[in-house]
Amino acid sequence: MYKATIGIEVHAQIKTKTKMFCGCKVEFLGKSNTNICPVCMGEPGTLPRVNKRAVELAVRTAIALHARINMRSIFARKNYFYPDLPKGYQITQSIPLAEGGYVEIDTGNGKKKIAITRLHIEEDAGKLFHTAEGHSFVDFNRSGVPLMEIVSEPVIKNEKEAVAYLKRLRQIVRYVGSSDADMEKGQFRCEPNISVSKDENRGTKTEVKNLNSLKAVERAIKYEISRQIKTIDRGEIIIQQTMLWDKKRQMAIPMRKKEGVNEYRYFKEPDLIPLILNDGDIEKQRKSIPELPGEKFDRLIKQYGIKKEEAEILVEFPYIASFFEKSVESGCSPKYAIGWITTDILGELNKAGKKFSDIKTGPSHLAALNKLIDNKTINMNIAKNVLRSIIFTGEDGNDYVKANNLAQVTDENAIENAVKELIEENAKEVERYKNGEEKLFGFFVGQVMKKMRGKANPGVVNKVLKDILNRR
Amino acid sequence: MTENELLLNGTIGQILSAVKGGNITVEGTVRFFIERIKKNNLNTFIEIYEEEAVKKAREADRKVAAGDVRGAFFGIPFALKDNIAVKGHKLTCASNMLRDYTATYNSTVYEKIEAEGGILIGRTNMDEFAMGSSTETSFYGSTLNPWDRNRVPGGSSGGSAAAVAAREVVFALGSDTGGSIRQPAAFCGVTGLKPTYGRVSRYGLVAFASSLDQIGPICRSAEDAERVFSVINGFDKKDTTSKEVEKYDFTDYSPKKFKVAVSNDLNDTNLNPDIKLSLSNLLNDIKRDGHNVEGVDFDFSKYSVPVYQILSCSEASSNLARYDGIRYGYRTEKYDSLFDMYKKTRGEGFGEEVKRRILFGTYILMAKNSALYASSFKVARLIRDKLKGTFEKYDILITPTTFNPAFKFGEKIDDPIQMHHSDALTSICNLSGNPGISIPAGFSREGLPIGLQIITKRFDEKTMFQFAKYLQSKSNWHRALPEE
Amino acid sequence: MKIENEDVRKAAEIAKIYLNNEEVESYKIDLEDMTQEFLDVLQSLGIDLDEKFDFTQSSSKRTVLRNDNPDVFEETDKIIKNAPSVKEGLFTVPTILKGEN
Repeated sequence: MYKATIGIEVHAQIKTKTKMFCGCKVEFLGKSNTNICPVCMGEPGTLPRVNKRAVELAVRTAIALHARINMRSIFARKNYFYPDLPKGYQITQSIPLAEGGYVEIDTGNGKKKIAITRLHIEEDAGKLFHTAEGHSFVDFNRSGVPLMEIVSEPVIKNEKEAVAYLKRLRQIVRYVGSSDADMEKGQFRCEPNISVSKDENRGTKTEVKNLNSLKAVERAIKYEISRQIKTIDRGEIIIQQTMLWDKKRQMAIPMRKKEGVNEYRYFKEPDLIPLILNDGDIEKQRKSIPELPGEKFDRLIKQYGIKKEEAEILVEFPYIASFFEKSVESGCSPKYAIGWITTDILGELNKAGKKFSDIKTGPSHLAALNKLIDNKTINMNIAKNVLRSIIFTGEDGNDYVKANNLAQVTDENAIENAVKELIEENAKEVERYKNGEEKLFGFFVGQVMKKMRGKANPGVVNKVLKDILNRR
Repeated sequence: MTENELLLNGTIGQILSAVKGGNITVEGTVRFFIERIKKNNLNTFIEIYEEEAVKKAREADRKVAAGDVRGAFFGIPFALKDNIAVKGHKLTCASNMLRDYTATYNSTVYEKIEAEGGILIGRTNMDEFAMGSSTETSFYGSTLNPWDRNRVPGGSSGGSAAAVAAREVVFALGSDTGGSIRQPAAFCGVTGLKPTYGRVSRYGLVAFASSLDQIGPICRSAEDAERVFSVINGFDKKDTTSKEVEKYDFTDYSPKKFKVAVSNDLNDTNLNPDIKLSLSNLLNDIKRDGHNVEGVDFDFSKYSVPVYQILSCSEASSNLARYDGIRYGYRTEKYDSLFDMYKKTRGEGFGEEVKRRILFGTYILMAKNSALYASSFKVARLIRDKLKGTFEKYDILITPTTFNPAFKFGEKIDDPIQMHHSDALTSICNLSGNPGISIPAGFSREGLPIGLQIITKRFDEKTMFQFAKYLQSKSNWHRALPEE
Repeated sequence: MKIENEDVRKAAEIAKIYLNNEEVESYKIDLEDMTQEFLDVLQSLGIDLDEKFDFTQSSSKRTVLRNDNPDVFEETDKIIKNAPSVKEGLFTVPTILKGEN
């Protein structure tokens, strides 16, 4: 039986206005090579200056990861030649900003802590465009953008855990405001390393790059585990290498062998003194940390009795969670609120291709609908219809019910008439029911509701229907 | 003092007063020096900014007429070593690699001098990327020593030192990584200061070895050097390795008794006898003046160069990686791949000495040798600690600046190790971070200038200048001019 | 310390500098000498090689950080003008295929 072992390196773009070591703006809207300056272009004689905000946000992230923060961390140079790297070295850290820590995930059968090895600050490289005509082009707008590299221990067992870890990690950096972590924009780049083994020793690992979504991470890990197992079963050995995920072909392809040798010649960056933090700096960041995703997940389940999957949606989308909690605060039952939000509102948004911020109904609308159900003005089905109708108008639920004459009918006479009509029209089915085919009762209820345009009080329908059928 | 005497041997302060008093014009002053550069033909400058300097001089003269004279260097012509950035001007580091590169920003030191009214008249020759001790590695050819045109001016700031010595400019800035200000100052008979590491912003100085590089003045006298230093020093937020200490201000000389330590390098058998004699005479003078002079066992000149080589080449190999032919600088003409372009560009763009140091540094930083670079700092630390101990007992440490006076062209260029060893006495300060100043202290029997190095504790340039000004108050070595 | 021609070639490969055989030979000797001199110094001072030695030249005690306020460099055209090869505001280099580095 093979066991897979996975570690993941994540590069998250730190959410700052300016680059890591110069005052150039971090934005990718305009033309190429516009957010550049002598510093991030590595012009002779320029020197780096550390962005305070980037450090603060990295500290905040480290706290949220329960990591041990180094009061003295050291910037270092990683030396290599590549056209997108202006100085011929990348400034990274040799003594990282933080070490240790963990991210707690829910594996489906219990909780698991994914250990973090380290978190350090570094700068991004520029961007290369490749053409077929004998030239590649370089745009340095991204050169020097601040990144946090977060490295996990190799303790992840499968693609599901990997995705759960990345999801939670992404929520954490978003919650603390340290990164927008949009994978499609390259703000949250994941590079898993994967190995398989039959025993306790770790097998030869491969690294997979070019993963632009969690789906891709999941598929690539699954693919790579299976490829490695097949390779070993064929009696071949795994080659330690970096693979590129090919989205079109849904497979990982080995990267071309690097020309020359890899010798990064790390050494302390002599243009920067060690980064010294004090307790005050860290306390200040600790105070600004909001409720974290893991805590929120547990609390939502405990406080509102909602399901794990429902809590997971609220944790992933804090604005929906806030809508939910405000609805409950306004008097809506948690059960109704979560159902309406996750099924009806999200369903309707999905259908219309709109965003949550497009909806016009507020938490008070949900509370009002709940009230209409409680006072038996409408039933659940009508409530759902009303909600779906007023989502983009923001109309008052009460008004809508009145205007469209949707109030529930509890008048036994009206219902009796409908029941009698039904019995006349369905003599055969009544006969079969009488002969013991009791499941037809549901059919009768549905037919009566249909006749009453869904407005009949289901309890009264049940009662009247039973009475009349039994009398016959 | 005639106008000629004033311009040839006046201090910054004296020239400034003459300008302010309307006794001389700025334009006349600027033209006087530019004519000398042309006439001397020592290859001190890579480029003279004649038009621009004259234009600025005329503006300055208009200000004089309007009574609007401000700035510590108002109307004073100065020069910068060609590794200090001035926006819109070429910045070549005397290398084929950068011969077409135009700086896009200003160095902090230039901005400070400019703000005080100084008039930049050009950029001076140097060893390529400041790597050398003779200015012979310059892509633009050697600078000649004004005292003997068959000899080197020293290096790497050879152009700046020779220009000041030949009175082609009032002062110049150089950079010092292992002695590149002090050694040429000694060879050319001028005063050159390497400030405490972190005292002057390195922003805009093309990096050679970031842990060792400092910009400093090369001047006619210690007084002038102090004037320039008092302008260019100070914390700069653009260079976060610069230290937030109180800005240094010029202080008038006030006599006091110094406790002077003399390094036993003075008894080294390798020391040129003329240098030994000159310095011994000088020390006797100092003793006679009632200062406390004692010899100390200080043998770091035996160790400094190999350590300096490891440290500076390692950093240089990384600092010079940016010259890849993509964003600026030289690019080879024909290539068939990216890596072919890199290798040809760098193989052709850099000179032999630069390549030697990059290769050495690259080799040292390779994973299997990585302990070498880190260990070089151990020696640097040792030297720093030992000097610290010395300055608990003494105010001043004196050494010769060099073991020999200026050597002849070609004498050492084919022997890199010998060449490197001419930094033995100066690189001590770069490794420890202490300030060091070389002042003229006599002449050899061949008529070549001799330099004396004064070292003080870190951030104590005050004591250094007090002592240097004391020495120059009782001697005229710094006023001697080479024959024309 | 003995250094092989291969070491010099490897260093040249990493440093991206073409060397001919003659240069390799001559640089090798310099590298040997310079390395040996340093090792001799360590030996005579009784200092051990120490990979972890951590020392900063600057005597600055406090890390001076930059506030996250944009400081836009206006003359980007001047930067681009220095480049040996540019096309439509992009720096050009010989083709690199994706995945090759």
